[in-house]
Amino acid sequence: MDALWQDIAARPGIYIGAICTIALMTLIYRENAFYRFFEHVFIGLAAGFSIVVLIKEILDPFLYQPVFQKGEWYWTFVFMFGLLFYFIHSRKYNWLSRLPIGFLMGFSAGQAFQGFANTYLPQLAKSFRPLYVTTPDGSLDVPQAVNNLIFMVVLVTVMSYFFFSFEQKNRVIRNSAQFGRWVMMVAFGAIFGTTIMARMALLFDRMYYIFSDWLRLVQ
Amino acid sequence: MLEPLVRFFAPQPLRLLPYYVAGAVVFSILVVFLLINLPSRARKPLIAIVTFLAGLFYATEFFWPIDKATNKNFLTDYLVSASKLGSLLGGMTLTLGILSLLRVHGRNIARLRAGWYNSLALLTAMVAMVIFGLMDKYGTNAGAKKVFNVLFEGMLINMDATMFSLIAFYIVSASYRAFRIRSVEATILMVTAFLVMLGQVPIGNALTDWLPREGWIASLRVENVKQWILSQVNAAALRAIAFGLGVGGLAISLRIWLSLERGAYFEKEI
Amino acid sequence: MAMTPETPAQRDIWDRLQAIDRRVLYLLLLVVIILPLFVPIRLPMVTMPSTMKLYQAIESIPQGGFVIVSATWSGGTRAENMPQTEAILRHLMKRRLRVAVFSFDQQGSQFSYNIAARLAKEYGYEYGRDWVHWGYRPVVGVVLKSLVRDIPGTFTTDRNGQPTKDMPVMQGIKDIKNVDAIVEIAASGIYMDWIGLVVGANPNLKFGFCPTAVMAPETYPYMDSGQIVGIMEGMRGAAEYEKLVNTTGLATKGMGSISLAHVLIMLLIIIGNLAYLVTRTRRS
Repeated sequence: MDALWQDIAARPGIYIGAICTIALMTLIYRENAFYRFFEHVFIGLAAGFSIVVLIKEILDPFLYQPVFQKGEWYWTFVFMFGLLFYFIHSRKYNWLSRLPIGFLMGFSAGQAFQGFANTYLPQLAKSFRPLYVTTPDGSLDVPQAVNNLIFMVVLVTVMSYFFFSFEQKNRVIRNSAQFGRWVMMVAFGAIFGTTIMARMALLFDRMYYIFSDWLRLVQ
Repeated sequence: MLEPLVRFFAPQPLRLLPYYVAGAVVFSILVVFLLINLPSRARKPLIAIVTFLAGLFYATEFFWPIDKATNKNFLTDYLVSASKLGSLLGGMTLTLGILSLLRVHGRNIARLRAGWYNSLALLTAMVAMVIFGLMDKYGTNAGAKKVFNVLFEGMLINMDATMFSLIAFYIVSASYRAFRIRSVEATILMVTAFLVMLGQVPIGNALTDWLPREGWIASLRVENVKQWILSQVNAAALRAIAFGLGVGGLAISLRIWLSLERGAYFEKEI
Repeated sequence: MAMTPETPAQRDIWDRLQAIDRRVLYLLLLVVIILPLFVPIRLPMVTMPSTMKLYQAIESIPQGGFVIVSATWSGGTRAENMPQTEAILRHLMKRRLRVAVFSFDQQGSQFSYNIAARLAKEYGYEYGRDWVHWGYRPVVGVVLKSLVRDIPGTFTTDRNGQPTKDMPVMQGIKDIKNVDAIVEIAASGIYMDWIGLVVGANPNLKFGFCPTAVMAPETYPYMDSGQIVGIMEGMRGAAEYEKLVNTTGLATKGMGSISLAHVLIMLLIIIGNLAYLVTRTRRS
């Protein structure tokens, strides 16, 4: 028993973390008061952490230091402008919060042109693949040529699926769209398969924490 | 002509700073007072102007020709300042929800509603995190730093991870109960999912480990099948979807920049 | 035509399978995840081309090169992003490259600092001389636009508020042209911001991405076009990378559990569909 208390004293964070983990996991059995209590604690901690980050990593380096240490007083205007965000809680002056929101949205929208050009133009260029591909010794590289053909066919058929501006009466376009739908299912199947990996990894991490970090039953 | 303005907005010595800061605060309050008294028909145009000017900076900086000698245009030097402005402004949105939390849970405690002790726990946790978080950064007390570590690494991180890990259980349940092969599309999806799942885990790889690693027959190894699916079919399909998303995103960005966007938020009377 | 009568026992099995309590499924999942912790399953793992490309890209950076690591993830995706962050930082420190770490996520800033500080002790890395942590930045686009043109101006202070200008690790770093590689470890689509606003500005810049597994398929078009040089896909990618840098971390230890979980899901899908098919056929 003494050894247990000593271990708790030496590793309080691990013990508390294990209790929190088990408390939240009780949800899979049934919603209960234990889970609800720790859920509220979690929200409180997250909210508190965002306040700490605001002060530590935003207001200190971007407001306090430039203004009070470098004399760049004009950042005060930005801070006051940012306070307009909090009018979102006011029923009467709610519209004032739209000013800084609109400002940030404008900032992002202005970057969209560069983002589009740099993201999609190289993609477009790389989509035109050669259908006649040779190996270093000059002979036809059949597997690569077939791959390129498949790539182009998939690309075109999936794009044809999204032609919603007109009714797809033509049989060629209809069949192309149908094929595009099928190959999209391949992509979605791949996403489903990788999603399984992602979610199972999260659960494994929790079990590892319980059995290795806390109980030390495994290495 | 601009020199007095440049001097005014230049960094000031510490002895004059309080006056400039106070002046900025007072000026800002006056502006807010003016805004509050703005006629309602002028509000949307004002928001549109602010949005447009903000976007104009980056759009102009991208499109304006650059001087080949210096590799920049007249706006490039202001990118750093714009970054600081955006960071400060954007950072202030972090705690927008806190007031709502305080209001809702404060009311629960004050009126002793059902589950008021949960609200008390929430507010206590929030206050504790703020106090010990700031002491960790600005204080020297080793005990406070230990408490912050317990709150952050011991509690917050573990609970965050646990909340997300619950999804694994729901995926199992959904896979068993809801994943039904009722059509050609569902069959294609399932077969692909199985191949990708087998290809990404060692147990799956072991199934075709007996196949040679070189030659055409190596393409039948499950990890190579998975790789082919991802890099040929999946890449092409998602690229096609991405083109559509990209054009749509650009259109939406343009509409937001020019305040042409419609919808519940944009059309609401203010 | 008269249907062949089925025994009540046969009808019960398929119906019972379809109506199985979800908590039985949860228990099965817990068992397959926990079992390999006690009975390790060590199976050989083949390194995927996407992981190898990232590894080789880092290997090709000359000694003393400068690499930015952005760890934009939080506790929710810790299982995948933490081993990825660790594997990448290990590789960078093994190669004695200069490392600058920062995050667009509040928690990620703290996480990445803790991991880097721990590994720095192991590899004899000195803060300020070999590595630096720039802290947290909230708004992605504006920071990336600024970073392309002026890195010391964008990150004037580090995480602890110390000026970065005179730090030895930042010597010679003016803009994106002085950066050899960027590695983003994230659980979001932030790679599109990097590609859109940064990658195009320096043709020699290598951009590596370490997403959670769920996001990996959507990044393949960008690897195909060369905009992303390599991808470390989720926990599997992290396990492969751990093998490449000769270490055994959380990702490697997790492969056994993940494998069994995958097999369980596949079996459940098959059984679920079989039960559905049998009951549907019986009804029709």
